[in-house]
Amino acid sequence: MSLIEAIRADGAKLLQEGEVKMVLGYRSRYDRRLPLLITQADQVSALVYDDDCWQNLPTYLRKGEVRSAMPVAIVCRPEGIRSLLVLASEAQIAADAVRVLAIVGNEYRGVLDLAAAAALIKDLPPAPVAPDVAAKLDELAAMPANDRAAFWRDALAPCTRCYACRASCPVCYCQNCVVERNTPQIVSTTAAPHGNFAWNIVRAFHQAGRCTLCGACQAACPQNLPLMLLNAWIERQVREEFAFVSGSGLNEPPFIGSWSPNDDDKFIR
Amino acid sequence: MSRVGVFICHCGENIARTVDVVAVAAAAARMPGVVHSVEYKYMCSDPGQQLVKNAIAEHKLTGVVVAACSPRMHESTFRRAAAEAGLNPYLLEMSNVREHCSWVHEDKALATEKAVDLVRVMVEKVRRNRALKPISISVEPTALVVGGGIAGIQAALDIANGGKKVILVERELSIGGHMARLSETFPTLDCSQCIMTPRMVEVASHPNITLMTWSEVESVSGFLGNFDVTIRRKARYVDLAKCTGCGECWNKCPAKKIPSEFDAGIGNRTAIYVPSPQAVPNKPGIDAKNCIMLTKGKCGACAKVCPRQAIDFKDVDKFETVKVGAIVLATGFELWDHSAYGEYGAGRLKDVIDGFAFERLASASGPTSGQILRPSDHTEPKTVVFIQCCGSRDTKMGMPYCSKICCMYTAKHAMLYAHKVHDGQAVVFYMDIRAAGKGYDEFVRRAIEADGARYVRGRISRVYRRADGKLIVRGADTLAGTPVTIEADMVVLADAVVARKDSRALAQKLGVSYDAYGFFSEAHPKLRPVETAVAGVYLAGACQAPKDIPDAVSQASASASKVLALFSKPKLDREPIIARVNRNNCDHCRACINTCPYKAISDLEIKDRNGKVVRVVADVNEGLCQGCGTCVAVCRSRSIDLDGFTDEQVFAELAALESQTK
Repeated sequence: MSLIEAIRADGAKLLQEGEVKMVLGYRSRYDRRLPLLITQADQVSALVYDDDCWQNLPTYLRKGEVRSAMPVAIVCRPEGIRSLLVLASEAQIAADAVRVLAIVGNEYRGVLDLAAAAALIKDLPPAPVAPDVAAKLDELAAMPANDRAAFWRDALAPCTRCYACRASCPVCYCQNCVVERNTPQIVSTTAAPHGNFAWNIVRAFHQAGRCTLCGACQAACPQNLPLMLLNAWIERQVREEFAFVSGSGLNEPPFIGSWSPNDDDKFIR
Repeated sequence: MSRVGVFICHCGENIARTVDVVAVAAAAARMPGVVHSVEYKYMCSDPGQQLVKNAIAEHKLTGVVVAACSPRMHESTFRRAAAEAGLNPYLLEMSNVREHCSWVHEDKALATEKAVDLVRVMVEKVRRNRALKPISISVEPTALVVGGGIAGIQAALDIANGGKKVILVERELSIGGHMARLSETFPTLDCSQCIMTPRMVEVASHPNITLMTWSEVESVSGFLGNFDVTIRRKARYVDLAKCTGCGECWNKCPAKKIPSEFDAGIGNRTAIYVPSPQAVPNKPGIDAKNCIMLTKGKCGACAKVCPRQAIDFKDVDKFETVKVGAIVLATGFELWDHSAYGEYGAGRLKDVIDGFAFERLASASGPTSGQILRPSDHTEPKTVVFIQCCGSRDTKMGMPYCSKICCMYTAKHAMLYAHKVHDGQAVVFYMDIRAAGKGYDEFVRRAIEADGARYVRGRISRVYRRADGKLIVRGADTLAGTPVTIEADMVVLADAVVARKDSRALAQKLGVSYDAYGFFSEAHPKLRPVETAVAGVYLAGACQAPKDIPDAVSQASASASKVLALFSKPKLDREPIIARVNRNNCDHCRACINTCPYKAISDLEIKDRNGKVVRVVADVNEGLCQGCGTCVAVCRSRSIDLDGFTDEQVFAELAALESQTK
């Protein structure tokens, strides 16, 4: 049985047996892949899966139509599973309301509950950073701070503030985003370099210790801003300075809000 | 529309010398929202305050900025004045143009410019201030006293006599602490037991005191006025309700050779025991480590003879949670273990004893009935060497501090020895004699002049035992500059006073800070000597620093007065500077709950009218919140704000500065 046939079979079975009320997967429309929400077992034939399925489906768990259909089964790659674990640790989803149709590489790993999914990714290395991104990270690290700031200002200047990055991100779930607050106005909403820099940097900071490098924001960005470079930059700091990898276990203490006596404190002078 | 009044103080010459206050007042008058601006020589004086009050009424002010000293100095003064004039006190802010400006600058033009900026910033803040109401928290009028030594007893009695309930927790079988072990007390040589035991009995019989012996504090939660304390009632194996203290059990107990802690190892006790004949409660407990029944499973002699069937070998630790409004820590001290001193025999020489062992030898109720007999062969020592500063003031041993009580008790020991052994010679080695206190120096002089103690200034290099049993004490007389060798029969070491081994663990349970040696830290070394930095937790006795009995008692009474003042009102007002959650906006990501250092934030379930949970949001406990703002910093959706320091206010302050620097 091929990967997609196995997913369809498991999805149909879960729906038939009433284990879940909804299956979240991908469908095909022309040459694009879109999310698909299925509630009837006879709809599973519409499910597809291939390398073009870039959306990180946990993003949809906070949508009203999905929240009212819990428990759900959800097609997830390892980054998606990490996103689920972040959402569970932040009380956004109940761990027992999710079944994972887990895919690792090109291999389907069956229906897992969140604990089993956490165990599955425990032994996997974190998502590899693309070689060109890794090379750029080293280059940035070697730059003086002022040059680095200038680099980011220039790189983020073309942003049109469409917020597709936010819409595609599984952990950008705030109902009212900080950028929409106006008493006081924390981030300028005009698509101008100053506000663009502030918005993208604030968003990246809000993802520290939460971003799983799923790449959805990068894929969604119409301006092709180097968002994965920014995310990877922060992910590297978090991992190297605090030995923390986002979404690496169930009930793991959050990155911000937990500490250990062994934390690096050399920045305190 | 805001109507702000600005009041600039000269502070005599303190501010006016470097800041052109008239220019500041003129500049402030032109700021948006300011309707009144004046300067005055001493704004905190009575006429100065009257100026503020009159202006509030006359100009219908909705906000006030006093540009003067630090808010730590006079914020409460001016806020009180504002309240008297009918303005909500939290609509008044201080702009610090003294410490932050005039005192630290020399150039008058620049300092004036900065003062104008500081005033502008505060005007912008005040325009956005909201009227706040003090938070009223209820106070549970029961005190917990931890430790039943003289300090704990005094604090408990004072609070109880003030009409409030007290729970006294003592980890040993009996209250009394170290003082109950002493023979006589300096500087009056009155019998320690005679002045101590009536207090102990009073505690036990006081209607306002609940005594919990053989108990320890397990955990503490809550806050000022509302602490929840879990107390571990350790397994005693004796039902205190049934036991009459008749003594049949300990007379029958076959495990008789256990060194008595109360007697500092000079005497022995049984496995079921009362620490001393004067114990309160005078009822035994079983030492599980040494009980034959509890270790080997057979014996039970005590249970067989007990006429009241009070003994239960199946007893286990129980936990009891009590609600208290204040906590007094009176956990006392211990003596340093001198076995670290190899040159004094490393604790292996039987006739080298510590101060408490000497107290028990000299005590009429001690194992020798008050006869001075040395431990090795029970003969009367004819030469006794007392060595002061054993560990104290010794940086190498990690105790650079003076233990304070040793000079006095060593003089007392020398005196008691002279009174009991008439042909004996006491030799005291000292570094300095520190006898500051009422009647203290006279007391030391008496030991030397009337009772013939020989005081030698110098340190001891070695104490060793000769084959005939004599202890050879070698040292230096630093005044004469000669080496000294003394053949002694017994050596008494004045071991350093150190913190209890587990004092740090207890401090951590309460959040109380402690110094490098494990002594609890007071909130201010001079002005708040009995409070800790944790509101509602007070200190009494040697758990804070080495102390003699009068000092410990004074501090205990001081703590008791603090507790009684706290309990004098059923409700307590506190500053309303706390975090506030915008429930409409909260996404319940729990970042604030995870981060709050005071555990003041918890889940709040919002239910519909049928009781179904609709949403869960974060909720701040007004009593616990200390207004630190950590939650505000971690909230990604900006759903938490700090009353009195809202984002809106802080941004307006920054914007006021930014608009000027362009």
